[in-house]
Amino acid sequence: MTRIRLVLAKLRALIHNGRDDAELAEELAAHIDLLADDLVRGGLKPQEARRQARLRLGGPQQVVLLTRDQRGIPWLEHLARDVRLAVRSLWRSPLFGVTAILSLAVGVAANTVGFAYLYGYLIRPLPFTDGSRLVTVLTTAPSRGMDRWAVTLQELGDIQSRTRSFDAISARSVASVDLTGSDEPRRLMASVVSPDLHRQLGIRPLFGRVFDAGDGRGSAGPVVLLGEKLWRASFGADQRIVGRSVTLNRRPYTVVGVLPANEGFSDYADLWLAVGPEEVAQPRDRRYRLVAHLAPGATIASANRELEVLSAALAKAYPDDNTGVRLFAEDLRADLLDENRAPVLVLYGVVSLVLLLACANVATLLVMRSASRSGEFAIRASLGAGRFQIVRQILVEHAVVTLAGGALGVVVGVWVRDLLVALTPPTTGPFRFTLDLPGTALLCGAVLACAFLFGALSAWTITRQSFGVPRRTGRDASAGLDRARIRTGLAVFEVAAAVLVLVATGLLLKGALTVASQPPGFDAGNVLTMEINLPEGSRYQEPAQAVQFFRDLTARIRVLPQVEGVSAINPPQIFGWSIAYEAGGMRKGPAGQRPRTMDAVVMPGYFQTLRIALLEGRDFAEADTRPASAPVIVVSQAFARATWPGESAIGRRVRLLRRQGGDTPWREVVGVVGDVRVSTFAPERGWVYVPHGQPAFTELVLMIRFTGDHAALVRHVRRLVWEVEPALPLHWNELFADMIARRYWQPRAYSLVFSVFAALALAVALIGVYAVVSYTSARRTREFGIRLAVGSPPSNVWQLVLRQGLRLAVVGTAIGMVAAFGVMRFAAAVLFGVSPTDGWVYATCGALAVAAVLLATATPAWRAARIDPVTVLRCE
Amino acid sequence: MADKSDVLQGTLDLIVLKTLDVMGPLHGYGLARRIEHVAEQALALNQGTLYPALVRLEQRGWIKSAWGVSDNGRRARFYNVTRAGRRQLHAETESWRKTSSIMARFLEVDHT
Repeated sequence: MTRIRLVLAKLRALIHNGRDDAELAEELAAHIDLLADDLVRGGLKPQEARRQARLRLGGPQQVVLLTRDQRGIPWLEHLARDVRLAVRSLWRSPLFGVTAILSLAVGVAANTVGFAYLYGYLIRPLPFTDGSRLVTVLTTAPSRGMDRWAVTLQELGDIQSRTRSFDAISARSVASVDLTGSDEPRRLMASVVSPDLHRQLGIRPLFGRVFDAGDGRGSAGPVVLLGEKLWRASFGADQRIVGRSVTLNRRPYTVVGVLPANEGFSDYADLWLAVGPEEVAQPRDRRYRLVAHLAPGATIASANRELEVLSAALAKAYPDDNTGVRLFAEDLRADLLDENRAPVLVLYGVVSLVLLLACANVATLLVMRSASRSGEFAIRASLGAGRFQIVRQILVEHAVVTLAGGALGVVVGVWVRDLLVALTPPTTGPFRFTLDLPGTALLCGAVLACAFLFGALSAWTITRQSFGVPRRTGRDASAGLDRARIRTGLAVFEVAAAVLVLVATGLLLKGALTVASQPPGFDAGNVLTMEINLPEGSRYQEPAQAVQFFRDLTARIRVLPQVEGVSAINPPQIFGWSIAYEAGGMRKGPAGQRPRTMDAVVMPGYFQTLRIALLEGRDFAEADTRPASAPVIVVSQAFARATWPGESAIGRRVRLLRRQGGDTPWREVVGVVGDVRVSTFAPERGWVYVPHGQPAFTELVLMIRFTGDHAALVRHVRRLVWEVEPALPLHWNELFADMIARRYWQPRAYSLVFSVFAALALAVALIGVYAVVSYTSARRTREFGIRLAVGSPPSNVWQLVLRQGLRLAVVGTAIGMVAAFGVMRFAAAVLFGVSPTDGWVYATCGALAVAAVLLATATPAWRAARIDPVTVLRCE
Repeated sequence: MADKSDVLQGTLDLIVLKTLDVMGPLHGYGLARRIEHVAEQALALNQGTLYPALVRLEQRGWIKSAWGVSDNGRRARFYNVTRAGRRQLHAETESWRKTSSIMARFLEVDHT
C-alpha cells in the first residue's frame, strides 16, 4: 500500500516538478525568515542574522536539489534533461544533425527493404499448418538427365506405405485445361493436387469447401475449385457458382469452392483439380512435386536414410522406371526459394554494409563534432561533471540522432518496400514481405544494437580525448596520434566497406551489362505469340494430321495483309529444360557427365520470323516435316563451338537423349544459326532445333511477326483458327517481348536495386571520410600555423592533409578489396558468368574509391593551406 | 556512504515522527528548533536535511502538510502526523527499543 502510494507520489512529482520547487523555495524562505527573526531576537544585526540563517540551513539551492532527488525519480529527470540538452545542441549545429540523421535514415531504410525480403524468404515461417516441418521429396538420376526432378504416383504410393518419416504427404502437378461453354473458349492453367493437400496445409477456401478424400475417388463425378481471379473475371464473382457445373476439356465438372488469390502455393493456377482415377491410371507419369510434413521425431536426415533404402528397393521393383533414380527429401522452403536464395543473401549483405557504414558515419560525425566541444567538456568536467555524466550526455545525443534517423529510415524503408512489392508480379508463392511483429522486433533490435555499439565507441573516444589533456583546448596537436587511432580506424572501415559494396555491385553490373551489350540474336518486337493445343483423341491422333493442321493454319495466317512472317515452336525459347546429347566425333564422357543443351521443335520459317541469323547450311524445308523424312537438326553457334571447336558442324551427327529413356535417332546437322539470348542477364546457352513432324506435337506456339494493330490481328487469327477447329481455346495472345519482360523481371530488378544501394553506400562513406579528414586537419590548425609561420609554403600544408586522405583511401581500399575477394566467391551464382575476381572491376572500383576519398579531402586541404598563422598563434 | 545515510535517514525519520507526534503541527523551522532543543547540542543538525526527510515521509503518507501562519505572523508550511504515521511510529519505536536494549546488553557483557 505504502509502496504504491510512493510510486504514485513520485510520478506525480515528475509532472509537477516546477510547482513543487516553487513551493519548496517559498517554504525555505519562510524557514530563513523565522530563523533570522530568532537570531535578531538573540541580539544579532538583521544582515548578520540572515547570513547565519542561510548557513545553518545549508544553502537553499542545495536543499532544493537534495529534496528534488528525494521527491522524484532522479535518473529519469536527468535523462529528460540530457535529451533536452541533446536536442538543443543538435538544433544549434543543424548541419551535423541533418547529416547524421539522413545518413542513418538511408542506412536504416536500405536495411528495412533488404530485411523485409530476407525475412520473408528465409526466416518467416511459411503460412501453412506446421510450416516448419514441411519438406519436399525430389528425384535425381544423372544417367537419365534428371536433376531435382519430379516424382511419380507409383513412388508416392511406396513412400506412403514403406516409410515412416512423413506424417502426411501430398502431390501437386500442372495441367492445361480448356474451359468452354461460357462466353469464349479459354485455355487455363490447372493445378492438379492430391485431395488432401489443402487440408494438410490449412489452406481455407474463400467460400464453399476444399477437396476431400471422396473427390479423389471421383465417386460424385469430377469436381473443381476455382481460383479467385478466374471466378471474378469469368464468373462475375457470383457466390452461387458453388454446386454448378462448368465444362473443362469437354467434360462437366462440379464447382465445390473458390480459393483465395495468393493461396500460397500455385499463384499461376486458374483452377484446381483433384488427382483422380485418370491420373492414378498413369502411375509412371513423372510430373508430381510433393509436399510432406515430417513425422514427430523425424528429421530430413532420417527421412533421407529411409529414402535411400527405398530408392534401392524401387530400382529392383521397377527397373525400367527407377534404375539409377535416387529419392531425397529437402526443406520445402529451400526448394521453393531455388534461385532467389543467393540474390537475397547478397542483397542483405549489401544493405547491412550500408547500415554499418551509416552507423560508423554517425559515430565519426559525433567524434568530429566533439572535437570542437572538447573545451566545453573540459569546463564541465572542471565544474564537477563526472566522467559518467559526460559519457551519458554523449550517449543520449547519439541516441537522439539514432532514434530520429532510425524512425525516418523505417518509415521510408517500408514505403520503398511497398513500392517494390507493388512493382513485382504477385507470384511470390508462400513468401510475404510485410514485416510482422517478430520481424519488426528483429530489425529494430539489429539496428539498435549496431547503433549502440558505435555510440559506445564514439563516447569512449571522446572521453579519452577530453580527459587525457584537460583544459588544453586545441593544443594537443602533436599528442594526437594515439587518440586518432580509433577515428582513423572508423574512416578506414568506412572506405573498406564502401569498396566492398562497390566491388559487389560492380561485378553484378558488369555481368548484366556484358550480356546486355551483346546482340540478343533475335527480334522479339512485334511478334505475337499464341498457344494452340489440339484436343487429344480427336482428328489429330496421327502425327501427320497435326502437322497438316499447323501447316494449313500458318499458310492461311501468312496471307493476312499485316502479317510479315509466321512459324511455330515448342517450347518457346523462354522456357524449356536442358537435355543430354551425344555427338559424332566427340569424346564420350561417363553417363551423367554428358553435355547438355536446350532443345525445341520448330516449323520451317522460324529463324526468318524471329530474325535469327542463318550462319551456315539451310533452314528446315517442308520436306523435313514429312513422316518418313531423314532425321535432321539445326544447331546454334554456341552449340557448334562447344561440340566441334574450330570445325564446321554441317554434316555432323547429333543424338538427343530423351528424359523418359527410349531411343531417338541420330540426326544430321543441316544448318547453324545465331545464338539466342532471351534473358539479357543469363549466360549464353546452346540450342538445337528439330523440325516439327520429327516428332509431331499437338501443341505449338504460333509466332507471328506483324505490323499495325495487335488486337485486330488477334481477332483475325482467332477467326482463322475457329474456321478450321471451332471453339478451340487460344492461350496467351501476347507480344513475345512482353512475355520475356514478365519472365525476367527479377534479375533486372536486382541489378537496379544493387546499383542504387552501391551509390548510397559510396555517398555515405564519403561523408564519413570527409568528416574524419576535416576533423583531423582542424585539430592540427596550430601545427599548420606554426609551419606556415616558420616559412613552410602553403602547398606543403595541403599536401600533408591530402597525404592523410590518400593513406586512408589506400589502406581502406586494400582491406575492402581483400574482403570482396573473400566474400564474392560465395555470390558467384548471381554474377551472370562474370568471374568473382574480375580484375577490371576491382581496378575500376579501387580507382573510383581513392578518387572519391581524395575529393572529400580537397576541402579540408584547401582550408588548411589558407590558415593565417598570425590569427592562429594569437588565439593561444 | 549509502550505509551511513541509511542509518541517519532511519533515525531522522523516527525523530521527526516522534517530535510531530508529541508537539502537534509544526513548521519546518519549528521542527528543527525543537529537535535541536531536545538533543541539547548533542546533534549537529544541518537544518536543510530536514526537508528531504519531510518529502519522504509525506510521500509515504505518514505526515501531511498545509500552509498556515506562524506565531509571529509569517506564512509557513505546517506538518502533522497521520494515522498511518502514528502506526509507523509505534512500530519503529518498538523495534528501536528492542535494538537498543539488545545492544545495551551486549555492551554490558563486554564491560564485565
